[in-house]
Amino acid sequence: MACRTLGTAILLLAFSGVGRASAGQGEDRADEFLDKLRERGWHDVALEYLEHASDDPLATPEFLSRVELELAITRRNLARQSISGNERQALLAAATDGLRKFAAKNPDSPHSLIALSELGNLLADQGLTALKKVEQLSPQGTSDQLRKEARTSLEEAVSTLEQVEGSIAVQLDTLARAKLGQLNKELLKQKQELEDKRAEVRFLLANLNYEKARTYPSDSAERREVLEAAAAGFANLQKEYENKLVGFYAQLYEGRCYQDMGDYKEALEIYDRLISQPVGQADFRKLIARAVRYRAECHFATENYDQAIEECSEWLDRSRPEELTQAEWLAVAFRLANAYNQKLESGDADGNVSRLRTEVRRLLREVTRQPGEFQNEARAALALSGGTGVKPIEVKGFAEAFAAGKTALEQMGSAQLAAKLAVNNNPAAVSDLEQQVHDNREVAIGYFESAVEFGGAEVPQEDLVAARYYLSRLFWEEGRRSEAAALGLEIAQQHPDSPYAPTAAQVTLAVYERLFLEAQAAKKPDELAEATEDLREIAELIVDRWNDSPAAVTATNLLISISLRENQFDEADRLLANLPAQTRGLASLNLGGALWTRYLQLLAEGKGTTDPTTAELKTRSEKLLAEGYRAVSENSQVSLSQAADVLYYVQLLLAIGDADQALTVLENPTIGPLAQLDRKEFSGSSAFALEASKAALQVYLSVEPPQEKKAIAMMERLEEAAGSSAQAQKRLTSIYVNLSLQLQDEIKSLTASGNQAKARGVAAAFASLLERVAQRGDSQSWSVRTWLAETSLQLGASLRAADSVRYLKQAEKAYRDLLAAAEKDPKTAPSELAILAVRKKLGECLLAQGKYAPAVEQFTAVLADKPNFPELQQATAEALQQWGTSESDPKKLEEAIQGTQPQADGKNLVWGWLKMAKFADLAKRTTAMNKDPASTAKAAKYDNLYFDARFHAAQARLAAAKMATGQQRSQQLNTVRQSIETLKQLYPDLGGPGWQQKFDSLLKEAQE
Amino acid sequence: MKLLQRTAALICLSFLVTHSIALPSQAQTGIDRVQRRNGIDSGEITGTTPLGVTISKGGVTSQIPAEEIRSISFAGEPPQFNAIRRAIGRGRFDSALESVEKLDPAELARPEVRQEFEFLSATCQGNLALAGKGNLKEALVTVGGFLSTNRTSYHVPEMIELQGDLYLAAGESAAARKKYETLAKAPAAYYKARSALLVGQLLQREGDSAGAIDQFDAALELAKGNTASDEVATAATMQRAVSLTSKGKSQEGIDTIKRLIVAAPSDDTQLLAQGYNALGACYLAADNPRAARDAFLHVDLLFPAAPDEHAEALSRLVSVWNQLNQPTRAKDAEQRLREEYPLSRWLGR
Repeated sequence: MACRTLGTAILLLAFSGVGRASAGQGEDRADEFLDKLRERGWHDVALEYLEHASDDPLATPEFLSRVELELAITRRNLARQSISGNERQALLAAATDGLRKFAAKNPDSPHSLIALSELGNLLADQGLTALKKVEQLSPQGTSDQLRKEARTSLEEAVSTLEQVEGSIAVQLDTLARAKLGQLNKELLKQKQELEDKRAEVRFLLANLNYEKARTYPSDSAERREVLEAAAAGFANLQKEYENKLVGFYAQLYEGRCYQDMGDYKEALEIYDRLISQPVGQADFRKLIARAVRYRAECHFATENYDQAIEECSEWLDRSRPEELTQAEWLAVAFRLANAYNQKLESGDADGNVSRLRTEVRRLLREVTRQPGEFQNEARAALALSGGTGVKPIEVKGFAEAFAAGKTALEQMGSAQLAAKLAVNNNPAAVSDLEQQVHDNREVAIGYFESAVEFGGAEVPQEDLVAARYYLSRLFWEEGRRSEAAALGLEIAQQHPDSPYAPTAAQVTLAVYERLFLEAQAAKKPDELAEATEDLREIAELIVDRWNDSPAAVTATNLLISISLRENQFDEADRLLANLPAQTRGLASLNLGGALWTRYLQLLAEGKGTTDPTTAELKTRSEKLLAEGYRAVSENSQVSLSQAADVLYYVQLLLAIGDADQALTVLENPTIGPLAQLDRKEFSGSSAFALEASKAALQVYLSVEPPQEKKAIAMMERLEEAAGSSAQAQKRLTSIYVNLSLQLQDEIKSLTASGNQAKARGVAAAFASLLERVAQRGDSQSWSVRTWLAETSLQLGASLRAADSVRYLKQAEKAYRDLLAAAEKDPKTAPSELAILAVRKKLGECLLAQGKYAPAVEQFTAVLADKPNFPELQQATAEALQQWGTSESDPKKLEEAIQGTQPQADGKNLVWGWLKMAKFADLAKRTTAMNKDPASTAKAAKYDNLYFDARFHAAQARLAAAKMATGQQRSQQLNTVRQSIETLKQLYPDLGGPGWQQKFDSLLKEAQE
Repeated sequence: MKLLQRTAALICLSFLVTHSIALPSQAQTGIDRVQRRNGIDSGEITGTTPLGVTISKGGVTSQIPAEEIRSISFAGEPPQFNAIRRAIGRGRFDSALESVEKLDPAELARPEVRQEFEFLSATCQGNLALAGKGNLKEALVTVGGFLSTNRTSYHVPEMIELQGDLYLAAGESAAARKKYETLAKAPAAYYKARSALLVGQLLQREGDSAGAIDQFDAALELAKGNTASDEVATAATMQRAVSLTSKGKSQEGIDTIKRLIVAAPSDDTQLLAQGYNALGACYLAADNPRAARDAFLHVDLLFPAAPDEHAEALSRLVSVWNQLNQPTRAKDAEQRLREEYPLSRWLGR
């Protein structure tokens, strides 16, 4: 049995013999074809072939029935080939998923055993990888999540392998029940194979238990419990497979369990029993080498370094030269170096400091030369010992230069890793290590430059491309951007099928993107145009050649951004359509978001919603955002820009009236905008918080039935997001007003379309919310309450008479409450002016209800403080005129025309229309003397006010005439006619077509 | 030039219609062996015409049609002939020609043997030219020479086809078509079917899918009920499917090929290889290079024992890999084509 060092290694060996032959299938050309593709390492072609395997006329139904299994295996193979971490993870996840599904769907298939064992392998692999990451990068045990993930994978691997064991047992049982005569050679062979596999699986199960222990904190009870169970499992295996290699390995692992539990005495004894076995066979010698290494570790734990040095040295001295480069022996060498280091650090070197240092460096160098468990650690240790030798050496020819470059690159990586670890462990060493990173990078650049110069026809093409690629990456890290970009582009264009090509192209893409952003920020059109072209070229190349890679999504997004900048929406659509379906989602979201912002921009520029361009933008963004949202829904997290796009989707759904879906998206627990508000990464984005809260408030108000509590909570959140400065408060008010206008528009639109019932429903739901908010009394801010009152007032104004009453009453109450609060505590209101504004609004509210006297009373109360407020004077005159007209009171009409409430100075507090006209005329003339735009605009405003006052005066006079009789009536009518005729003489255009029409109509009425 | 072509065509035609003119057989010792499609006939070849040979055994004479004959070992022929024929069978036209050139034709007294010698020489030269290893014009002269001096050879139809192939390679498709059409003058249905197949392939190559389909249909009709024409019928069916695909009926074309592949005996490597090559061609016509790649790869990985078809697959893979942005794999296919089939006509394309 070929047991090897770690569980993973054994796992990979397992079931290599359980293939299609044992599944009882005859010749299958499709299998043969797939095998040949795999032999060549063309897993990419294999994957595509399998995806369309049903198109192969020679693919048998049996083959097609296990395509899912073969796909998963192929994805795993591809993952092993991939040099991109993200791609590898994605492929492994897909492979795991495929194996799981196949095993679940085909429990009785002869291939389910293969699927389950492959699944077990993958899960164990993933668990161990996660564990390794935890131990390498988070020695302080901070990565609980990662540990949990590792544990879950390992537990699932155990459960899967238990199924495999069960399945093997069933098969063996079936064989055992066969009569002796039936046990032909083939069956006996099959039985032996199954027995061997069962031993492997059992060993693996015990080993996974051991690995699982590492997912718990070192001193935890859980860890100890799992280790004890694992030790017991290994002990059982020893009994079952006594004197077999698997039994001896079980013994070694039992020792490791005790070692990990801190029971070094027991562990040392177990290892000792192994070491005392006769040493001969190569596989067994490896086992002994491992026992020596673990014994050394136990001696470290008990600070018995001399013993560790003695045992390791003795074992290495007794070893064969060819063994010294094997992983098990390198581990012993590494432990020996560790032991020497301990002696040096403890000052116990007995005058041998220099010799020991040299020996440590020699041992570490040996370990760094071979790939293995301690290679990185040895490199980092070498970096820390200052023994990395960054001085360049003379190289002759490509091979030497290339190898030296790779070594320098590895040393750079080691120094980077050491620097990362030193941040916590040895902060003083960080700057030295960073210098080493820099020095090694420069040396590596030198070697790779030499390699490229040496490169000729005899040099393998792939190595030459690799040298260029490394150079390009190093240039990028060194800030030599143009050189990095040129090399990356050259590789991408001339060697597109090299495994380095997509990554090299990404280097170029990164450089060009940086240049593009810089040019954009600097607002230099020429540079921007050049950078855009460069970026377009490389992005198109990536999209064209590596269409299904993650880089293609990035490149497409960049191309889409460029197209959008240039308003080429069709091009953006085309780019999107070219992406493979599985990667299109995120790009759709991005494009949809961009189109939506463009739509909003056009609306802000004055284009209406019915304009074909804006309508088209809205339709497109709706489709894309929906598609993108569906794709991103499968993610567990989103980036800031994706979160913004999801928020745009909520806004769009609100705009098209789909509040229910807007609510679903808004409250999506993983990717919804509300879920992002609490994320640390988003804390810096107040704009996002503000917009998300605003959208949420609108959603809660728009759904049926409205979600009042959530709306109120969102208002509070909105105020928090807006901030407390005066400017922020102003912005908040503007938000509230806009929101109320949007709701008002919605109600108006429903009323206009004859959907009175729904309009009433929306208004009622909204009003009940307003009532509830109003009941919150003092806890509410002035701005929120004024908004609520204003919204009620506008609601009343947008509905028909009978429906409007309750809202107007509600508004009146809200305004009165505000005034009462301000009277009780003037600090409640932000300013005195704010109180006056509320009074004016209360007057308007009363006026809308036909409560003329109190309305005029409110207006005049304000006028007493601010008599020269033309808008207020206008409102008061209007109130008096409505009062007079409505109650057929000529006196009030006269007051509207002439003014009323004389003051001590003899002047009326309420100006009336005529004085208003005089005031406006004078103000217009005075203002018009200045020719600046602001004065011109002001003059126009006064001009309008003048004609408004003159019109109302004539209108009020006509109303009074209609109430009068006889001569009085004739006189009044004459006055109306004369005043209009005079006005015509003075201003032939009568203030423009609008007013002209109104005056003509009035004149006609007066003439009748 | 045109006059020359016309003359050549007339000569060829006369070969086929004057089949009753037979060579007098010389007295000889030993036995002639005719390797037929199915089995071996031995006896004395008493006469040859472009339509076949007459063999006499024990006083009984019988006719063997040319389309039935794979090869004939003539009594008294140089022993090297067999090795040369084997080399030609393996596509090693260079070494075959080398061996041919070592022989002295003056020593070949028997006319049939001399004819055979000239045939072998012309075949080698013609195929080398098709592989780009020889001069096309010189090869045309050699083949034309064979036809004018060996009017009674049973190899005449084969040489006419080779002549057509050489014209086609030289870019003279009209001349090539005339040569292929000449084959149809033969009374045997096999040659009529073969003629239609070759003309169809020529039209297919020129992009005239409709014309090609008509020819393939004719070939299929002519091949009916004729065992010797089975291969022609299979090839016509496959090529018809490719032309259908080019005409836009890709599914119909592809389905036809798939049915052929499924029906093929699992050990008929050549037929399976032809099927997958045709399938690849269909996918190319349907602008699906990935599926085409998989089809040609089937030939490369599963059926390399069929040399002509393997060479074709490698040649196609060179362009497909390039189309799929895999230049290294394309170079690999090209290198293998050069190394394994240095004299294949697919290398000359």
